[in-house]
Amino acid sequence: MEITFLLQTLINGIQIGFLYVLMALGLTLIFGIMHMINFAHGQLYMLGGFFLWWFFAIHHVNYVLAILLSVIIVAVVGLIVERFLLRPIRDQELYVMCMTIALGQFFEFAARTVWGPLDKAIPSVLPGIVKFAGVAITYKRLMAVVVGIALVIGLYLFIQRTKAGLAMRAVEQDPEVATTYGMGINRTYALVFSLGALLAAASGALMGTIMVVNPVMGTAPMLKSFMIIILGGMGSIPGAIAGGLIVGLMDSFFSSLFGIDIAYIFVFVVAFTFIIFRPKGLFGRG
Amino acid sequence: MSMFLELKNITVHYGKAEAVRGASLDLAEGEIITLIGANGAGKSTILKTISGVKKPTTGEIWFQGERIDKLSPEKIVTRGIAHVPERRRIFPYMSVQDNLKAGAYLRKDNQIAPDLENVFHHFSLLKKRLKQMAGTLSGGEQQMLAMARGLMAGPSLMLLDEPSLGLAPLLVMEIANIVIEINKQGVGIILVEQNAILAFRLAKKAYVLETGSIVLEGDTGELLNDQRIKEKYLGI
Repeated sequence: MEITFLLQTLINGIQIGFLYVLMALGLTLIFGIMHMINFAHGQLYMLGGFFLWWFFAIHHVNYVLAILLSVIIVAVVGLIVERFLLRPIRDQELYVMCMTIALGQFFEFAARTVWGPLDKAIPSVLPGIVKFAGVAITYKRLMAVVVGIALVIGLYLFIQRTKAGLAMRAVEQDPEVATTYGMGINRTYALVFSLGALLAAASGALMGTIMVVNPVMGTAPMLKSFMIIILGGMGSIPGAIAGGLIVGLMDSFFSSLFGIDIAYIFVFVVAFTFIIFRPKGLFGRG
Repeated sequence: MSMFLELKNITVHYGKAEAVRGASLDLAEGEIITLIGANGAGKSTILKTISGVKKPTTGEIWFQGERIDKLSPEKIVTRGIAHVPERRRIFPYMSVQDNLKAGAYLRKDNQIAPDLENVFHHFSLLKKRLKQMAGTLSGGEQQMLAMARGLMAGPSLMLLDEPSLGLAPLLVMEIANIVIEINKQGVGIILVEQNAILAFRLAKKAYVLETGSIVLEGDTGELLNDQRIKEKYLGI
């Protein structure tokens, strides 16, 4: 009984953790490479969820295709936002911060206006449960984990193996020198922001499949993602992965033991501790 | 005859502050020239202006018959100008191999593999360290990597900013010999140096900068006998 409980909580934690990882990865990429804090990240996540619902539940588009369309649309939204709203002000940190806050609110209220404030359920895909050693996981949660892992691996390979990934790393480490070797800052920033938006949307679409979709669904995961990247180290990819899984596990264990509110509070207590005693996080470069 | 590289009356500002005032210089194909002067005299700024990182307020830069001062750094590197910046500035969290790839980032020609062999010929040490994180190399190795990264751009002109900075005398000799070898392969070099003795040994022509202006220029052989140069820069 005890072991089963532990295992079940562990599996739930890993599953939720991977959705946090996807979201935190986008946030940490944008912070690490562009030095921007994207306060609209939660709303990009929300848009991912809503587009999936709109395509899949309303227009009966095939689920996989609906996910692909949703993340691509949000990636294009990211591209437009970077080009027209962030690029002109990108050297002004405070303006960027205000702009992303404004954008987040814009998306949230746009979604409310178009789709209404109420929860929308995404019809069940992949019904059924896998049982394993007394532990149960629904197929759709398992799918979320598999897609999450695939995206993390895909992102890693993209950054390590492609030319665009090389440029992302070079621009992060020394933008001026990267420029002299022909790696365009504008092009790299556009790619990074849109990739970040795509990851947020993927996370939102998967979460929407498991839970429900509504205009404010992104706020709490975004705030948690900030804590995750502080825990892991701002700008660090391994940090976002480790941080996301740790916070997922903390969520799962603390909400099983003490209830969901205490679990939520606890994440922020851990964040205070890191900010004061280890501001560079687990994997940060200081 | 038009020169290989020509700067005509270049003025460069950082905000309102004038960093370079009315500088003109030229370089023939395959030649080494040096810019010497104290800290803040404008030497690095001139290199940055040639590679396009800084834009001149007034003046023109011509390279192989083309005006390049309005071009982006990206265009300028594809024209064959590689900038090896001050304090090496290799990408510290990338492998040696990825740093070299970064140097050849815009190239699509089929000379990349032979150029890599050429780099290993000059810097045999790097071949053994390909997988190593660049930030963990020693100062001398990092300087070699910075130059190797520049060579991977396939340049006909290399802008070398203080390659001897912070290196032990023996390493400085080694770097100097490599500079000579690279030059023998036909690469023109603009060398910025605090170490004027080294610079005079390598370069054919020298430009002396003081607070943003070129105050003296000439063949290094002749400048060696100039009393002002002797006292101020060579310490003899």
